[in-house]
Amino acid sequence: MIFQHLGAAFELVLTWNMFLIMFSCALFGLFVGSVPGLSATMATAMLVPLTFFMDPVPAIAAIVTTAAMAIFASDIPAALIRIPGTAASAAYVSDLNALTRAGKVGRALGISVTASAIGGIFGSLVLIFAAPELALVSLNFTSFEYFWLALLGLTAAVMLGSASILKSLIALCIGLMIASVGMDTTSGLPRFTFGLTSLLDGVAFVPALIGMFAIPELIRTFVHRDLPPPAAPIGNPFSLFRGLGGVLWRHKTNLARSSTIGTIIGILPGAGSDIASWISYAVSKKFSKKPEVYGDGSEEGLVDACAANNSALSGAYVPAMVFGIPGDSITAIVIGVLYIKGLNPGPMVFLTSADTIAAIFLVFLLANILIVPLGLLAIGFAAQILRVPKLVLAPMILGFCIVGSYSIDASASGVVIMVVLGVLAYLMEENGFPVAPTILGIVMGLLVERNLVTSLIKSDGSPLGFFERPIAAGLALTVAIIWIVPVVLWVRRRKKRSGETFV
Amino acid sequence: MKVHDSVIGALLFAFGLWVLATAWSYPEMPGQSIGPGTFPSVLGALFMAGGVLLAITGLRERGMGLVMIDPGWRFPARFAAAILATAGVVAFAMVFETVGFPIGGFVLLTALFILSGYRSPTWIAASAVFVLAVHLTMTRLLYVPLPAGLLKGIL
Repeated sequence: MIFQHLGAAFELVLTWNMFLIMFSCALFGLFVGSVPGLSATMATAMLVPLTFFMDPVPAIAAIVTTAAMAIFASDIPAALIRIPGTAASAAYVSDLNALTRAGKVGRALGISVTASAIGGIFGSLVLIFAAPELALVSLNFTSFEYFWLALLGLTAAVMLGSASILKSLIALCIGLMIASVGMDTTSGLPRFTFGLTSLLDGVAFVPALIGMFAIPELIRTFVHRDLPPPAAPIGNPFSLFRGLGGVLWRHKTNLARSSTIGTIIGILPGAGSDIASWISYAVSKKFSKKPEVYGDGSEEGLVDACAANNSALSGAYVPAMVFGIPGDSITAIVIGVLYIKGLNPGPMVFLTSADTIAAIFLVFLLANILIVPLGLLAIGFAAQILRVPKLVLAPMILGFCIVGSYSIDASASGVVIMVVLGVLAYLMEENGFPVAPTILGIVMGLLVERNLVTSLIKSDGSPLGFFERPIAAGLALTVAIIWIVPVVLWVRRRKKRSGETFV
Repeated sequence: MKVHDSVIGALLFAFGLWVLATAWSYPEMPGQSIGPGTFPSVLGALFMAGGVLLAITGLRERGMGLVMIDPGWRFPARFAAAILATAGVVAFAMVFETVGFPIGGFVLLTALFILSGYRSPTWIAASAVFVLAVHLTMTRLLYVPLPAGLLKGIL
């Protein structure tokens, strides 16, 4: 169904305006990705106010390009100064740096740039072919299915993160709580507004997002001042492709496997590119003939993890476009932008705005293809980028944050929301509470509540209604399994351990 | 600032209690067993349960003070920069329309540069150029109505 709209889509995408936007966003993404501590999500959050002034397709193009470039570019500081630019590179930072120290920095970054592009293109293709089919199925979904889907997404966000499950769960509840501030959608009653009229519409999403991702980083930069070590010299960037073809060909099954793993993890709501790269790195090590070199400059592990994190980035858009449920925090931002554009994500959008959707898919492919030439450019300039101290950037980033959170509805209350939630996020992160579940909670709070209340009204308050439809029951079972399995494993481990002590 | 899990747990419990009490005070919808308070009550209960669990696991772990502060906070200039970047920005927001982004932003950025140790005139010029460039881009190119404030009529 996507192909009949390709012609119109090409017209939307192949314009000078689009090219200019994608090119500048690519540079922005490469810059943010290469500066350690500035994350891909933060880059996207800072872009959001600018996207208000664009049409839907350029707006999404801006975000997709920035994110794809930032995820790749975070490998550059990982290789040169052993600090990952974003969490997505954390899994293989030692391998990248070990290769750099062995004088193979060109090879290391060459693998990273091509594997990233291949993974990204694979994920985009899956998105292009799977999303419209899924959308057809989900046209029959009712509030019961959506409630379980949303719950599944929130569950995955809690379970798959690296923080403790309890703290992730609390972080999620904080997000859901923030989402319930404002006028209740069913009864019109103002909730938790403390009498402030500016809170009647709820906590504005964009300032919340900018604050929670940027302010903690700024406070840490101003106060903690963890300075990165000096960068290793990069030599000739054109040495990148020497022998690269051979390496990729040798690891072609790895490429296919990790692109698949990455895409699937991306599709799972709540789990993003960082988790994808950890898991596919672990899988790669398990099946490798040389597991002992992992962490010590393994090219194989690098191929796997780099392909996985970029394919996850595209995979995350499947649930986002089809159900309006974000696959990770970047897609959470994109969903917010789509709503503002009146392009409410969900199965209907595939019918009503098919041209736009096809154009967005094309953008994905383009952005991932652009990684190779622009990545080369970035690698060439990497040493210079890494010389910019974060401390100099911090006041300017704060300036952007103020402008960004003000411009959403031209009101200073956005700025206050940004700071308050930013300080909250700083305190949360200092104490081991992850911020990503909170963001998902803010985005999905209304969806969960509306579907819960609608379903309860439909079933006359009886919880049985949630299990009567087959897909709803299947989803409920999946959620239950995800919650129960870790508990069973934990109890068994404990039993086994106490058994060993007594014998 | 790291706070002991048992303290956070207690705070979460109290917060959950407050949420629950507030949610119960909301009127129910006529003829329905659910209302605007249903979802928040679930959250309130989860906060209370989470608080208790966190406090219990926190009490098992020893060897950490009730509150631990990053050594960076002891430097007056760094402390001041962080306060300026948070409370200072809130204060700036209060007078955003009257003072305007160009003047307020310039003062904020310059102060932050000075507190971070960048004291040469170059950095004062850099803040001026940056703020002006952002202001003009936003107002002229993107039509975001950033207030010019004190510079109204000039910019």
